[in-house]
Amino acid sequence: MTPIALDLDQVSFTYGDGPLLQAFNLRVRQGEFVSLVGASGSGKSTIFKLLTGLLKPQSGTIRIMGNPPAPGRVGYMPQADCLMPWRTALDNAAVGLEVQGVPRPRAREQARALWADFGLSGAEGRYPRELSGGMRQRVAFLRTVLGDHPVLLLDEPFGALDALTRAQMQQWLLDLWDRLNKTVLFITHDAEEAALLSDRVYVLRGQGVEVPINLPRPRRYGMVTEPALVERRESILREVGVC
Amino acid sequence: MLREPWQRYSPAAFLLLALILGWEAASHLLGIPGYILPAPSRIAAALWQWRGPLLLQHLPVTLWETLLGLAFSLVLGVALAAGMHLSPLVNRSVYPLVVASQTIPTIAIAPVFLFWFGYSLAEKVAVVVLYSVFPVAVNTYDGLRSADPDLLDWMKAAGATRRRTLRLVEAPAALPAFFTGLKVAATYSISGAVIGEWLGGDTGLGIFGRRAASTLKAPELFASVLLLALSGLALFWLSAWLERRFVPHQADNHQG
Repeated sequence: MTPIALDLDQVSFTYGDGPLLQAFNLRVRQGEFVSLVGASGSGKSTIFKLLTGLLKPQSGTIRIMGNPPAPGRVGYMPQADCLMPWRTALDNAAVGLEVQGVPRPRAREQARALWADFGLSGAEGRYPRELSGGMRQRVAFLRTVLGDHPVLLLDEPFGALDALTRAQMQQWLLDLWDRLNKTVLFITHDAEEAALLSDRVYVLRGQGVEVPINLPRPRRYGMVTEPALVERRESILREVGVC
Repeated sequence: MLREPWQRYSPAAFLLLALILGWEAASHLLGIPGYILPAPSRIAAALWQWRGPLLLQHLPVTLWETLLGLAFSLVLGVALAAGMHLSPLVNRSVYPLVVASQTIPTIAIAPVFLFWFGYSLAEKVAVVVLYSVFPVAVNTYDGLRSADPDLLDWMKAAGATRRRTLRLVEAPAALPAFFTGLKVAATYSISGAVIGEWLGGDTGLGIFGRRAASTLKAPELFASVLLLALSGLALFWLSAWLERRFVPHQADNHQG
């Protein structure tokens, strides 16, 4: 049995009007890729804020690799790329280590070691405004990966990209995923993306419904048209309440 | 894209030339008396006649007062901004005073410095600081607060300390606003030095202009004003150059 990386047990959180999460349970095993799918306002981003320690639950317990959540315990990639406009692409990636106190030259060196794997060759010295949306997300993802946390939280990383770039990024993430050896909790509102990338999907509706994917890896983007994946996509949408 | 300096500055240069020529022509054709509005040629002649004292005595004194005052304003302004940003108590106590201090007419309060410092360099520098510290402090303070809230959340989630957040996010985010403040302060600082000199002293472009004015020597007065304007322009260009040097990520700073 693989150990549990993320464990939310009977977690409740209220935001003003009504409960956003009520007695919510979620378990992610080490090395698993799990997606949270739900309409906006269903509490996806709140779960991330709870896991990063930015918010505290009113009741219930949260464990990350056995520890309570605290800043710096998980790698977090926010919805907006949040790159620093005054830093070059390489230095933006290096920030992931600099926040932990690693000196810049060494942080740069470690960013360089993964630079080509992240498809960023040639973009080292460019500023964020000179990068395409896909490139910016790669830099932000590298920054998150460099933090060297076993658990990564990715908040709709491809949400702002056009459809073609998004397909490329999904293929790229599938390729990279097999080598990364990380536990990923991924937020998306795209059922197809969730089915393609994940081992399991949680649909945030009421207490949350689990949709197992059970498709073999390695996967490739072309599988989105195959009946098995289309069927998974439909069961996710059914749980969301669309069809 | 206006990349070449010639393309960038030629419209302003042509306009200036046209204004000077029009001014020259008008003063001759309309017969305006020299003490009302001297022709540019008369001003140039005065500038040439007094070139020694103006450039070697008065200009260096005024520039020195200005640069010293500007340096103090930068240190004080950034310290105030950082204090107000980092400490809520300092913010609540100092910010209203900083703003209120700007409602006092500088020229009315400046004589106080004469009581404190006498006819010294310190008195002039103090007046320059009075003029220049506000734009530096307020712009830098706004800049420190302008950091992207999502980025600050990310820093918090990543476990960054307060100090690292200041160094890695807030300070770099404040740089453009700081330079805006510097450019404003640089142009104000010359006025501060002149007011400081008017209060009393024996050298400086402000003194020179005052003496010329009291003897109705308009060309000499205009000559000193021209040098003051050029000094302000030079300080502004210097600030803009520093901005381009230290904020290279900002696309095409068009000023300067």
